[in-house]
Amino acid sequence: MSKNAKHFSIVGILIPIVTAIVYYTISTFFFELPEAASAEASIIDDLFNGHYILIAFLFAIVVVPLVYSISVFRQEEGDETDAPHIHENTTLEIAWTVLPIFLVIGFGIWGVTNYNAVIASEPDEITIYVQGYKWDWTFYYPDHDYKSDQALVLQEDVPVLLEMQSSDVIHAFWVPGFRVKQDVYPYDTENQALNFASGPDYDPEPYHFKPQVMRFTPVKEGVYRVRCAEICGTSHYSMLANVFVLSPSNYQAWLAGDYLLPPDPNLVNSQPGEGYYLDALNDFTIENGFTPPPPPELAPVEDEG
Amino acid sequence: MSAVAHGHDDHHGELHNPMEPTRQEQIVMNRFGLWLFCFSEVFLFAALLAARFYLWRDPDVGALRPDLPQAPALIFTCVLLVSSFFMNRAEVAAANEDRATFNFSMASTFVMGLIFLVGVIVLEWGVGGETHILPTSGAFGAVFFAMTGMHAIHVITGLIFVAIVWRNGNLGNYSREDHWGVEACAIYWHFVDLVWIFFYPAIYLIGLAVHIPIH
Amino acid sequence: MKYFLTSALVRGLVGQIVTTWLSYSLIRSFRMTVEGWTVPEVGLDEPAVVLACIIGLFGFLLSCGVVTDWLKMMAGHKPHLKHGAQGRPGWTRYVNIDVNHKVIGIQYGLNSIFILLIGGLLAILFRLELAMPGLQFLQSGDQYNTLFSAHGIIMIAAIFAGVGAMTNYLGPVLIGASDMAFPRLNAFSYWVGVPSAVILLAGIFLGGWDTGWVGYPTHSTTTKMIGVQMFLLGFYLNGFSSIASGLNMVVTAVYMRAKGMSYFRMPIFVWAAVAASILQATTTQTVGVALTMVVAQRTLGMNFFTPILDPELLAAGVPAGDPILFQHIFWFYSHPAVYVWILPGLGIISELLPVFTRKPLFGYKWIALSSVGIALVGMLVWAHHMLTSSMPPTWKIPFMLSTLLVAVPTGVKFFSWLATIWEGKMRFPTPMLFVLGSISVFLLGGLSGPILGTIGTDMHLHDTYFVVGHFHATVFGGFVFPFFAAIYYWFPKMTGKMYDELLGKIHFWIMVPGFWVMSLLQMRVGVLGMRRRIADYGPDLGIQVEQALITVATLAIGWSVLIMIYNLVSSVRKTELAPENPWESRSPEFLAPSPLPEFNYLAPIEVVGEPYDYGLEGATYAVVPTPAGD
Repeated sequence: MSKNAKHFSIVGILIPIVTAIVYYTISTFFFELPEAASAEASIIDDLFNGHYILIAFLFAIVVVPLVYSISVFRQEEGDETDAPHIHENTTLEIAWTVLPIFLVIGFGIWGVTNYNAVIASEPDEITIYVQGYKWDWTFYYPDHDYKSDQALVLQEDVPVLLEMQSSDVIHAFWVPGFRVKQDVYPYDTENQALNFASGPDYDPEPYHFKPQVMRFTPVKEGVYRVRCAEICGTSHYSMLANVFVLSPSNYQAWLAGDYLLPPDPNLVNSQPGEGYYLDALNDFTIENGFTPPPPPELAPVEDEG
Repeated sequence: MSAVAHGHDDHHGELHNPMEPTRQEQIVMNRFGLWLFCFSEVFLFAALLAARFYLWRDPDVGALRPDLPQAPALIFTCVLLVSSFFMNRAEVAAANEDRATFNFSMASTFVMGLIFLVGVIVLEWGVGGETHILPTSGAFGAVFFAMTGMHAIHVITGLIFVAIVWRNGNLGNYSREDHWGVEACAIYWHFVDLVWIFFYPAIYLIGLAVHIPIH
Repeated sequence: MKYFLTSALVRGLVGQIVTTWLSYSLIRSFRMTVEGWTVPEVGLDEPAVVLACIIGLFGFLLSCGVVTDWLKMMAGHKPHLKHGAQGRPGWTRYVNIDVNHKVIGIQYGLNSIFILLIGGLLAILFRLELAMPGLQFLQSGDQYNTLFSAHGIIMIAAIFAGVGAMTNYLGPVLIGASDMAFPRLNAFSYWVGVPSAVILLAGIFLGGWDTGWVGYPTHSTTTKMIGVQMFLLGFYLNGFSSIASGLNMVVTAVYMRAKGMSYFRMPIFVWAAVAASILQATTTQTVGVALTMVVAQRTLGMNFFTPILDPELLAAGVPAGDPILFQHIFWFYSHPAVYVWILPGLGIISELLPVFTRKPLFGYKWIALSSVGIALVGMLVWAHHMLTSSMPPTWKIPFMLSTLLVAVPTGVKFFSWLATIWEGKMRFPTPMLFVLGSISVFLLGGLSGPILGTIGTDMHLHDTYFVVGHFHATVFGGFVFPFFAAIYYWFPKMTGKMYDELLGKIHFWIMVPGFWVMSLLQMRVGVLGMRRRIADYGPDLGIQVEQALITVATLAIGWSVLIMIYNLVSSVRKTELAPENPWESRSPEFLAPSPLPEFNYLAPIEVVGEPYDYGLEGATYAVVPTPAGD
């Protein structure tokens, strides 16, 4: 028994140490998330952090005894006898069935509250219609009756409500920095009343058509990228669009047509030959070496107000 | 090449399995296997029913159904149900080695099954007759033809099964002790019948009737 | 050679190709006569392809002869089961119709490894493409899409064949039976898988497809690449194999156990195999429905999945299709399908651990019941694959909770394994190494599970490489490595020869660390923003080093599998015989001669004790009759 107590105490000491090392490694380096750029991202990252602690702990309580056993409980040279006949311990079995149930319930409750916080609506949301199609995105600002083929432009710290639909197959809207992801479903393209692009004629009410809804609040100025996350055919990999999060003054200037979107730093720094993928971003072609992308052309904003 | 799992060919010729199940043991396993197969098929038909309840609905009104002629569906459903009775009689007759009743009951089952099948294809599907619904009639057409079609495939299999068992019965292949063929046929036929008991109300009775415009 | 050319395999393949080609030509000519000469948009006439493939399957089955006995029964005859090689050389049994479960098991195994190699080759091709940003040697996204889609479904076919190999070979042997309950159905299960694999592989060359192995509408219903039809049909027809072998295994385990073997004295693998078989026999039906619906929508225009409707129908109030329906029906099968693969694999781990630790399996009943628990809970979690779909939150939350619940029975397995190892006297031959490797890799898969189960975190990780890493870790840890462990462990029993231990260890030390690198880095790039199923990625993600390393790891894995194949093939040709019980196992098959006799045991065996009583003086599990004169 004293020998067993020695084994248990070594394992008992090692488990917290390994937990700490693994947690540190995955949270600060190995599974480090992209910089959080929306309010929702911080909420989700809390849950990520909880999971990382759980992963580190469970990893330790399995791997430490496993590795310890492998290194200590080996067959000794010439020993052909069997190991002790220990075949069950009901208390232990019940413990490791019931304790995880509590853990599961805890994470379940956390998961629900976390999800509710992520999808909660906020006052003064700006509605933007998003249309996915093979293999690009279009953004329509109903408040300004303005269609942007080039990029999604958002204002820092102002919550947005995206109403999304697809013209052909299922796509998925995902900006890694914002964390949130939503599949986008096709609708009846022939029916003008269901088509976001038809502007004022858009009226889905009689058809029970419900666009997919996603909410988030961008909190960091910068350039991000929408990535289609549902396989949609030939050019799925390059179904991308830029997202610009602008400061309030720049945003107002952009709406007024006075602000040209900055060139994407990723494009400026990239090398010739990487163009196949980058092509998709701003519809420029690379034929004779690398050309920096022209600033996106803006259609004049017809502000009704 | 090394011998993998080769028998002891000491005696050459026919190998004998020392643990071969007896016919009675085999029948017990067959029966359990067939019931499991029916259980497996439940999932097939349940998936179709799920599709029906998932698609045939309106957010405001609730469940919908296509507006189809009621009388023929009711009649054919009754015919199929009655056929199950004759199938049962056939099984009892086989167990009693009563060839005449067996023949009559198998014939009745076969004819009634055939009436059901032809009825569905001609009057419900509208093949060669008046059409009320097409495969292309939205989710109505799609699910209607999937459900009735999948069921019809099972009815056809059942009819072939009935025909084979009927013939084998006349060849004298079933006895009081061993009429597993008839029993299997009966279980299968009852199962096909049972499925229709769920399908009939799902297609014809539940929900608000919606007329399908057809050109 | 003469024997090979007249074998059931060759006859079946010729029959399939001839009937497919003939029926395609006939249907095409018929349609041209009726509808006039039109050139199909994609080069092949799609409905004709579908019908021809189905007719070709019957061509295969009839010409290879696997249904001959049934046809005779229908005609009123009573054919006897034919045992043995029928006067031909022994190896011909593996290319002919044979009802012996061990032959069928090995047929499955060979088939599995062959398909595994093809699937692996496809993986290596697209890993080379992904080693650097930019398209290197593939010409288009379509080619890439075909490669990864085919990789997915071909690997799934290989895994099902591998599961078939383990359950067929081991099931009856472990319960002390002479064969499966339905030997002919067993042969049918194997042989119906061959033509469906042919259809799948042909799909790559006849147009390819770009839907992934999930084939979500409305992409799968509208894509112009008609290989998608072959994919759907091949997938669907493989389902017959699954259902039939699942039923067979359950009936066998219920009725054919040896005298004295109560349910809680069955070897633990049988519990796992039965749990997997129940899933296999039931849920496969629903994916059949989903796949049939897609085929019907493509060929007959039946609208199951498209929310688009003719205006007149719309005005009349007729409902339209819904793409979410497919996802429900599809995942109702495809999530449990993963458990169909991993349950037998985890069963192998539990089966082998006591032998190599020389200790009883800790908590036998709990492990046995946890298999059933995983199977049951597994049927109630399918919609967690749809947490980013437009399903309402009232559906998402219950599925999140049920998904997290899977962790409980899985945890029971892990802790019981640890308790089994603790204080053991461990030996480390190749099978044990692979068992430990499985535990480590399955742990990676298990730990990356709950984070995908909570909706918030899943919104970031869904459809990224994190999922790819999680999934591969689960399947390698839960199926591939245990499968290899089983091959090494029972190889002396199957062939009577011993494999080469050094090559086995080299295989292990390349493959398992290689896999850790691959899987962990896949998870890492996923967290950083790499999506699944993309032909190319931008340098903006900063993941070039990781991608290059993943490719190197993949190549290492590929080479190590070739080492295993070389090892097995060269060991079979050795003349030196292996000992009858090289592992000092208590299992009945190791008390019988190697290779096992035609009917496994010379006379019925009797179980008189618990299966894993290592270390208990004088305990016996099974009394196995030995050949007279030995």
